[in-house]
Amino acid sequence: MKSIRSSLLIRLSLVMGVLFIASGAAIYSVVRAGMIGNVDDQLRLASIGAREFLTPDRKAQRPAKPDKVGKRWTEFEQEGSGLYFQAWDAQGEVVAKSESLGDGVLPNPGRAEKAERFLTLDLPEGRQLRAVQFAINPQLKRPASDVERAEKPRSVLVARELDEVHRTLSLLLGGITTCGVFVAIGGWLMISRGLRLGLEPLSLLGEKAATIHTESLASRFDESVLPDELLPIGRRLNDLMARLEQGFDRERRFSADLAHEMRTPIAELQAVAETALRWPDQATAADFQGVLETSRRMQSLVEKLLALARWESQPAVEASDVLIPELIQDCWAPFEKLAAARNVSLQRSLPPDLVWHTDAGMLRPILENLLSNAAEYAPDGDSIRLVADAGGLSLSNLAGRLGPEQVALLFDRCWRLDPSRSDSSHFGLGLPLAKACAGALGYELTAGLEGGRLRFDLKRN
Amino acid sequence: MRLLLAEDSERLRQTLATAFRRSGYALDETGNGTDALWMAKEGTYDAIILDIMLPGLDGLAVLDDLRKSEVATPVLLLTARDSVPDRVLGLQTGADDYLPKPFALEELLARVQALCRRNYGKRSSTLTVADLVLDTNARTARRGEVSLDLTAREYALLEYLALRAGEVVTRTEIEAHIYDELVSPLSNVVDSAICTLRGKLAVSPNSAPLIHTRRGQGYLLGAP
Repeated sequence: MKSIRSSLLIRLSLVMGVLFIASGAAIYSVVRAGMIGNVDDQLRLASIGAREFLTPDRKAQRPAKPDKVGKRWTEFEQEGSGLYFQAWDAQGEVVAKSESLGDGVLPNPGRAEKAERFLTLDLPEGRQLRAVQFAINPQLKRPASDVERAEKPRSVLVARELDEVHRTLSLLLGGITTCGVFVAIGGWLMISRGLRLGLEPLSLLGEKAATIHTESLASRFDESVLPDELLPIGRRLNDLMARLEQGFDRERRFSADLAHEMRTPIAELQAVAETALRWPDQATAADFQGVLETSRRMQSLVEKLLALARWESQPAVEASDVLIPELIQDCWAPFEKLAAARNVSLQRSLPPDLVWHTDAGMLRPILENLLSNAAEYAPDGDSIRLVADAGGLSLSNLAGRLGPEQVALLFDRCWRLDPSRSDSSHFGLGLPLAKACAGALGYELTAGLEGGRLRFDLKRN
Repeated sequence: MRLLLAEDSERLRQTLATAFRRSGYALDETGNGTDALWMAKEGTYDAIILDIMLPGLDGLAVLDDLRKSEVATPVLLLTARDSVPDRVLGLQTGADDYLPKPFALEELLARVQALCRRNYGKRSSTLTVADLVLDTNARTARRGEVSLDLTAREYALLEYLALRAGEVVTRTEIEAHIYDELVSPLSNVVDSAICTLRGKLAVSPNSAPLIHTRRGQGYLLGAP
């Protein structure tokens, strides 16, 4: 299951675990280093006491009561106190050791250097000691005799048991581990909850998207509640839904309009036939004439729909040089009389030798539709303006009662300005057909209102 | 029965008008919503057949106006819109029936007949007055065991009288419901039709008269 939430939960838990372990290790190391440092400080102090033990001249200066230094001295004298010293001569023979060691001995770490050396000793029985090694061979003002050299300890090791440090560190480790368990559980819960809250807008977006179907395309994602990260997605989805809604509306309208175009003539045919069958002796030639006319109208509708489907499927173009003024005159001629009766004229502005390299058979229906619409719908007395050049043409006439809303629907299949669709001589397929032809020819046919005039532009892409 | 047919497709309107008239209905027709509203308000109709997509004023607006004007004439919406929302809207606006195009003529005639019948509070397709029985589906009449040979208009007149059996029906009402064309006030077309009908109802010398004249008022169909 590809869940963003689960994936984030696992990753964040792992990161949190690693961070906690690293933090715990750092704390442990710092505390351990601090405690060892503290032991080293104690050893440094104790080494002073050890020196005094091993330097007879100074024994007289030993304080009567143990002070901080003296306390170490007493610890040297108490068996099992945990603080020891031991001295070796130059030959590695033990020459002195504290009473606290009892019968035990410390391992010889080797020759002492001039400077103090701290080290950790592991005893055979498993105990661990922290120790400081130093040389106390006194620097004699005069050369030492062999006896002096032999008697004087050369290497001293002061050591302290690390049991207490280990106990403390064990407690710390236990605490860190316990905290780790709680932090892991609590962190997992908090991360889980946080992710659920944080990803809630995404979940809501998904749930809303899951409810979208053809009947609910009017609904939109509420952009005001979407977080910045999801806002572009929400906007794009809203935009797509708006387009889909328009497309579905257009298809529904087309289906309803086409149904009307088909249903009424079918109803006519059916009613005529049933009436003739019901009263056969009263059937007249007019009934059959009506059937014929209705059939022809339906045939025209079907042919237009088929032509539309053919043009929309981008048929092969057979281009040749087409003399545009001549083609325009050919297309205008059938409507000229009708237009003249309403005092509507065509005002042409184009070069007389204008030639387009295009498919005349596909350009003709475009011009025929544009010119027939202009001739029929231009208000009485209007002058249709046609301007053409090598890049395309434009045709305009007074818009009459067409508004911007209607102009936007002009190229919709089966759309008609008259909602009652009473005029049976039209199907609302002329302009969609013209647009499809234009597309197939590599042109774009657009319509718009300009200063109260309806203007069609046919431009080469 | 007088019907109003409002349909913008001229061919369909003419065909339906022919069918209704041949079925014995008087009928007024129009292809415009505005005219349909005026006619429905001004005229007396037993049913209205109304297209929705009409020029001038669409059928639903006509229907809405009629219902708001307390015109209770039964309305059958005859339309190319066949979706469920369209049907629901039509019925909610006040239509009594809804028939999408294309339709069977038989069905349209039956629905209109049912609407007319319901308009007079009758549910059965059989109308009985004494020993006179009318089958409104078959549009036949018999008296006792004898079938009556009636023209479409004579049947329509008899059916109208039977639907209002026991009531005095005025001459004007008969003219309004049965006759297509304007009847001159001086015309005796109704009296002639009643006279003919009386003759056809007298299937035997012993047949009791069923149509009674109420002088100065009209006619009444009822048991002797």
